[in-house]
Amino acid sequence: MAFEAQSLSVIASGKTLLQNISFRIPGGSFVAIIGPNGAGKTTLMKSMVGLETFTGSFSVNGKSSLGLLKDKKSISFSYTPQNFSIPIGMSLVEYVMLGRTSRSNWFFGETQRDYDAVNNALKKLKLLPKSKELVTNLSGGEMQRATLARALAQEANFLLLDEPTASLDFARTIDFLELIDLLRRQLNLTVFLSTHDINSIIRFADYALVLKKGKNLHSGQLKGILNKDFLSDLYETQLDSLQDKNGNPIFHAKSHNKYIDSIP
Amino acid sequence: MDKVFTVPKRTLLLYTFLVILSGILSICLGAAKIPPIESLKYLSDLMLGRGQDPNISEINRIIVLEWRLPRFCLGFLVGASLAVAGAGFQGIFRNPLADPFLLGSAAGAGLGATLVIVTGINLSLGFIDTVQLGAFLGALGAVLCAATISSSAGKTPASLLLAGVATAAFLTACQTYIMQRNFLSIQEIFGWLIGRLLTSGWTEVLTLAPYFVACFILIYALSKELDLLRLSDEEARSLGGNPNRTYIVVIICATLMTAVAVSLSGLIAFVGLVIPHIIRLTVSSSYRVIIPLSALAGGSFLTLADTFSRMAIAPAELPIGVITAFLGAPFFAFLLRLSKGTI
Repeated sequence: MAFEAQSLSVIASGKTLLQNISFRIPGGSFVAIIGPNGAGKTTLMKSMVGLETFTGSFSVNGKSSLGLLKDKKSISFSYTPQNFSIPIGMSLVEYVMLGRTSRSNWFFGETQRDYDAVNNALKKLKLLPKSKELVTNLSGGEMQRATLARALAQEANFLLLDEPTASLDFARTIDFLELIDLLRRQLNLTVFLSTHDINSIIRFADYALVLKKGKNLHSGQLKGILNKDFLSDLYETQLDSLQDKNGNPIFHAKSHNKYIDSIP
Repeated sequence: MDKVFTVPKRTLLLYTFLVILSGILSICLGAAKIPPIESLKYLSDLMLGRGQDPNISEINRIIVLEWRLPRFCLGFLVGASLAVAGAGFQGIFRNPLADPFLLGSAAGAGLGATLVIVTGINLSLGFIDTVQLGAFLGALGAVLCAATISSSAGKTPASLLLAGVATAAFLTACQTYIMQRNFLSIQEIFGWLIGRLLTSGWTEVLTLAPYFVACFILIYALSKELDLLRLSDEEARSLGGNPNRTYIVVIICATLMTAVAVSLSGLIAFVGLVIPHIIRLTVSSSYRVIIPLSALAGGSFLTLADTFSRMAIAPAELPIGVITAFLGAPFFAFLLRLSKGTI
């Protein structure tokens, strides 16, 4: 499903968090939302969901939308905040079943269809053997897959993931991004993923929304735009870059700690 | 795949059996020496609509049907109300320490009852005692006060919780001062504060029953939402939940059922805090299981405690609040040791 934002602005407590953001994303894209801390990445995702009050407009497949939540009857989406909860005493299967809350029957509870959806999601993410375990006992990587399983159980068209790889190690980060990319292609999902890990996301995402201080610096194809000069400007630092054997750039920041000089 | 979010049939049978057992014990045991078989016969006659047997004692029949039976029903409704209200508060505040008295209703009820006892005013409406009315208004007033303070402090669950703590501290201080100035009434006030189940027929039962039924249905209808609230507000909303509506409805229902229950029984601690945890530890941590089973377990636990309180030093009675904590606390401590991080 294609997603479009026009002149999106968010002002909270007199502070402009997002200013006049417009973009158009074709359905089935993998969109990286990048920008320095405080750029407005989380605010953008929350606005898309409908968790923030905003001005401007959205449209999904050409149809006007007030945020994905308002259209939850026709559009299915999954939003995972950066600091998602890991509820005490809840088994993995219950956690994934929560994704069916708005679909299951209010009076009779979960039907066989709900159980099938959860079962398939757990199987797809290779979590079925852990289905009875408490989510508090899962590793960081398993928990991230559990959030994806919940999204699949929701039969989501859109995945919105706020810095999902922030707490994952090198290997788990690549595994997770690969998994999302695979699911996106298999299920034709449109994925919005915010991250600071430019070196990893550059290998998977095809679109980029680049934010800085609430403004949109770029929205469109990712290829070519994420170069050394652009990123140095974006993060206000000096970057160097190398290339891996596939030709993907690898960026690293030079030391520039502006606070060190001022420490006596 | 095993069913989730549902009460296992065996567990439901077990808890139903517990209610029946507590009912039978409550009706068969007491200071008056009535053979249990005879007590059960009165009950079965009543339930089957049989006419009165001329060979049996009218006094015994009245003791069983007009005294013990309504007392069982009141005990069950009070216990169920406190346990369901406690579970509801634990759900919306995401706080395992939450109990029905969290927002100041206990302190408000205590002050209301104290004021009525020391002033001796009589506002009886005929069907309800003035002390009960004072306690009910005190409990509602305290929660309203906490809600008003919280509404100007951001309306967050944390601000409401802290406003409840502040309100409770203030009202308790007022009550202590009044008690200290009226020491002749201390025994009567203290007797009310530690809780007791005294009935005058069916009036109290019929007063509490409609509140319990209505509030229980509403809280149970929101138990799916309470499960979503085990996640963050943002996740709950993105999964189709409506946290604000859930806060408001659960607070109103839990407060109403608590206020009516404490106005009739005094302050019975422990049931509302611990019964939901016992269900959480032994059956499931889903509110779709905790809410209905808390009603059954809370009701039967309080009834059993009441029967014990009537029997221990018969014909005198021990305060029921002492029994609930005395029996319940060690049992809960034992379960807690087995919890292994599930609570």
